[in-house]
Amino acid sequence: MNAAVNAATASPLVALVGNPNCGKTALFNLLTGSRQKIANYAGVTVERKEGTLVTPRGTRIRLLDLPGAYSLHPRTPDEQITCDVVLGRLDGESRPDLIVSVVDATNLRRHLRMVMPLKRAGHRIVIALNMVDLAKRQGLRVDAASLSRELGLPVVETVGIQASGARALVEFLDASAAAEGATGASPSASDPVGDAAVARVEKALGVDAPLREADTLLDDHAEVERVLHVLGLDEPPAESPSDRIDRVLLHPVLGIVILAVTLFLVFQAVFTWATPLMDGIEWSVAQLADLTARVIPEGPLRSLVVDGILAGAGGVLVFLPQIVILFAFILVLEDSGYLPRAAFLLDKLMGGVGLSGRSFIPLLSSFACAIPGIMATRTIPNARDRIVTIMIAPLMTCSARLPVYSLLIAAFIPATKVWGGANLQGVVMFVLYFAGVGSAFVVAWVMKKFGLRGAIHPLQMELPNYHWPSLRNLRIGLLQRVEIFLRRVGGIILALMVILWFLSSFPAPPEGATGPAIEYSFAGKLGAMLAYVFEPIGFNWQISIALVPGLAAREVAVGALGTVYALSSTGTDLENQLGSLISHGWTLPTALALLAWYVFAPQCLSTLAVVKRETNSWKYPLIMAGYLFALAYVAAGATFYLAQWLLE
Amino acid sequence: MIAGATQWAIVGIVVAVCAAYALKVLLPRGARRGLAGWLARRGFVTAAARLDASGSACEACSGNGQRRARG
Repeated sequence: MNAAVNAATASPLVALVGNPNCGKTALFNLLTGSRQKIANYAGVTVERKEGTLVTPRGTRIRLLDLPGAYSLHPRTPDEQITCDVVLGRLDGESRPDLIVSVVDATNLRRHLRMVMPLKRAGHRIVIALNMVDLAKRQGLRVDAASLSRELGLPVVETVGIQASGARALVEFLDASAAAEGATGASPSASDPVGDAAVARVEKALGVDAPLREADTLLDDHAEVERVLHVLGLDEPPAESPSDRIDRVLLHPVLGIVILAVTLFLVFQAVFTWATPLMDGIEWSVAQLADLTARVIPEGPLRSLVVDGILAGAGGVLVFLPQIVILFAFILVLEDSGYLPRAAFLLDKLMGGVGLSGRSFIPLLSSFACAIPGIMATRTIPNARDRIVTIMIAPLMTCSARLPVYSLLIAAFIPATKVWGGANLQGVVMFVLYFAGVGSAFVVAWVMKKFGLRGAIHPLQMELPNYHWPSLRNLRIGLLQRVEIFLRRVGGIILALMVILWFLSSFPAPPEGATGPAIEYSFAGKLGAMLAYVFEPIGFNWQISIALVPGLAAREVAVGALGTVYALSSTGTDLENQLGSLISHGWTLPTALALLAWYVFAPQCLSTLAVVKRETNSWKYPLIMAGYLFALAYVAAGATFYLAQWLLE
Repeated sequence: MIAGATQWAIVGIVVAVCAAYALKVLLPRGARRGLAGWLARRGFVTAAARLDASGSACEACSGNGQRRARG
């Protein structure tokens, strides 16, 4: 089997459908060679994903990975996507020729309920009995042949996390495609689903008659119980190791303490473990700058490479180790199944400010980047909860803020040991992350109190079994983070640094000018204008300049500071790194004010664009940009004056 | 060693390319399509097609690595 790009439209269309967290995306990755994100909790996939499977006989099959759904009566935007694709209602997409109904072998009682509406919809279905390895370890003996007989559907066993775990499914798809080839065109070509056909399916499903939904569910439940009884699987499950672990980790007090300690240790590790690697990258960039200065003679090209590219983009690259370490921890927590427990633990706290535990996973995703977090709000069924979660998602500390925090903390906070050995720099980082979380809760509370009122919806969330994190998933997840970071450094950050270098270098200073050349440049003049706005909160003109490209991506602010300081430095200063330049050039209140600014930092433009797309309105992105700017300005100003007063 | 005029030429090209790239990735999808249409009407078909098919900065980092898969 192979991954391929841009499938032919005539290829059979196969959709992976099933409950959340049954392993659809793991199977999809296995079948197509894709590297879609997978994790051990419900709601990771919120979009329709497409890939191509080339079977051993050479048949190309278009494969769709759909968001998890509990029924064909959608309650959330992501379930709606699945329902639309299954029913052939999605614009530009034909009805699938075959449904691979993925069911978790360890939880047939719930997962088989999704099979029933698919059967009623008249689809050709194959059951992928997934996680059979886990079921065997738990002592569950699921007889695939008996299950097939009782359901009247073909059943193949799969293990989505093993390289050969989809072999039986591939053989089935191959044989199925070959049989179709022998009898004629695929159903998609010979039997297009028109509106009338869709209406028939919807009628059969009771889509237009919601009151029949409960009856249908009861019928499905009874049928599933009958099947389980025949298979000898109708006994209630015994207490699993996950249940025993949960008695500790979900304890109302101990659970919260363990969660707080875990996160604290993560930030300690981010600072402590990354330092040697960061020093290595910093040294390499400095050596490269030195070499460049020797190879290229004095002139605009040397300035572009040394002051623009290496001081700017190179200055951001230094923070790669911290990002890798942070995400290694997050991926391990995700894959082990601990993160949904954190949502459960925080549900009461979140309920107090008008959020549901459902908001936890989108907010957690926002620690990587607010954009996937905002997209993950599609799993929230209540519109009001979804809007509030979208509005506060940018307050979570995204990875783009990590370079800014790290630069300022390393420059101004001593690496002393506190509280019996904890690194003070790590403690400050921990506090900054929690300042973001705390402010998000406050904003959510204010919205609940004065704006978006609505009933609180109790959290209903599936807690997956714990399992050891997969090294393959960890490797893929980390490589993706590295790739994303390097693409940003080599793409938009590099481009903006070059533009900033140009704006900071031209026009050249007039004859007889005495100050640094940058003061006479476009950027210098812009900085002087912006200083009227930002001087009251303690920012100098260099910071004011750096804030502008920081709107494209926050970490660009670090690169921009690198370029601006490189161009405004004297020969001696050029030998210094950015950290030491700002630690000598700024006061502590200014540094703290900038840290406070970046806790709230007005959103990057990409996030605002995604908010517009997800809410289908300009109202919310404008409100978001306005309230974040106001919060950032007030917080930075308050921090600056408070620090000045305390240090007097 | 790179002569002064060559340095200026290289710098000019690099700055122009970076400005075009930044414009492309920072433009919202609607504006990008509009610009692509404008380019296409003036005969720059390849550039227009590339611009139209390109992703924005948000798509580059969106999805926590969950880029829309085409295989």
